[in-house]
Amino acid sequence: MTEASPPEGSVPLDKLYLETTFKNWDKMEFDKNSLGPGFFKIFKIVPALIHNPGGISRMMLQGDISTVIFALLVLSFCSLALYGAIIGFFGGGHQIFFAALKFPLAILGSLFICLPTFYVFNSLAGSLLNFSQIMLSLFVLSGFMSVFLIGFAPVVWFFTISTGTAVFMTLFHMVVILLSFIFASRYFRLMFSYIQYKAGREHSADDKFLTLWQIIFVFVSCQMAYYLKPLMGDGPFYTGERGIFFEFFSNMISRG
Amino acid sequence: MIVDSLLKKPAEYCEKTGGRHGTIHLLAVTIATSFAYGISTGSYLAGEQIWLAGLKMSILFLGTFLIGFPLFYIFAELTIQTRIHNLFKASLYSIAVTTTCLAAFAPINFFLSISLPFSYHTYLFLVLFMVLLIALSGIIGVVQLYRGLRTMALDKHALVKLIIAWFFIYHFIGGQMGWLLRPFVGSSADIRGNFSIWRNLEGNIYEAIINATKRILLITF
Repeated sequence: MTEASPPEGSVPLDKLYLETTFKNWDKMEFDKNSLGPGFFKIFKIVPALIHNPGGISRMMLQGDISTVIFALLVLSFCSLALYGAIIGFFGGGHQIFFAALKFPLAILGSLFICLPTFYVFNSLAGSLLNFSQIMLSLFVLSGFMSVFLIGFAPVVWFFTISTGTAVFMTLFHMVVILLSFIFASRYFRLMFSYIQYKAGREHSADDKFLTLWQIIFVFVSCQMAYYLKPLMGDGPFYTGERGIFFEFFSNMISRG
Repeated sequence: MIVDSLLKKPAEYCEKTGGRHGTIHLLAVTIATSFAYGISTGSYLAGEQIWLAGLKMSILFLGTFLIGFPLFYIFAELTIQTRIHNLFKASLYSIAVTTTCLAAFAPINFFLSISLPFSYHTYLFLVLFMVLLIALSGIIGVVQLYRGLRTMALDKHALVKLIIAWFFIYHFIGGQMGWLLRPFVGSSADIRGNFSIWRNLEGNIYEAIINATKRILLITF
């Protein structure tokens, strides 16, 4: 019995989807001067990320990327700080300011910690991007994640002010952050494939490497969040208390 | 720049002409990256262990390379027949890739070392995590060596045999060298405050990995 082969000339659906998307993105243009001068103009990166990914991606390959890096960093920090402040509403008082600082520290810190592995994985998978372009790609991920978190913010705020259980709120935040990461990853992967394609590589970075890296990033972020404790009811900014994030689940199970 | 070409252009280090980058570059990368990874492992116990672990890790990788190279050269002579200095550079390249991968994990390792609690359970977890990282990086190093040597060897079948030989020689010696130097996090005795550079020799790495896995499973379940 012979295996059925696809009809001659047929193209796999995902490849066809990528080709169509990339053709549309080729028509997009982005002017980096639209991001400044002026602090608030930096936030124009948000509509650009959503509606003009092709333009931003191509600009990332054209040398001077400091404006976009700065804009994405500011966007990520401000959005994560806002989400952090909402987390802090649970503890109230000075915990709002602590959480507003701790949450960006946890996410951006994890991103920086995982940056070398992302660079090495991509280089081994045959990526033609250099270190600063790889770094900017990760800021795109944090930018997308920030946008999704801001979208979730009103819902999270409503639950924060109307819920009294710390365990529920921790789980709720974990789900929201994980969902934001999953949604952001989907757009990030598409954009990253386009950047790689434009850099001269036929296929995107090896997906297995990217998936492995995402697992590492989630692991590090969970540990970072457990270490910094942004959802602390009371206490100083930094406790210095050591622990592993699995303890949260084992404690939850043992308490029933 | 050298790290960039190290990861992306294996042929530059393994071609017959000797390639663009020299052995000194590779030695410098190996020492610097293994030292950086060693520092991250030593930060669990902090103090003197930090720089000592860095030093031990550099000795581990270079020592394993030097001890294993003569045997590897004999295998190479029997399979792909290449000049000794080219083979020396190609195999050092594999070590440099391995240590570069480890150095990429160093920030994660450092963060885990400073945030995980001092307990026997965590100690076992860290040891297994580090063994896993070294094994993964070693495999990447071997794969890159294969990619690089493809330009030098005409007989692919012979090359595969050589790579398998390299894998076993290097990992067998490396495992025992690691057990001898113990540049990871120190034994559980260290957690209680004792400190030693060279501990008593007993058993071997493979027994230790099996025992650590058994213990961590017993504690968890």
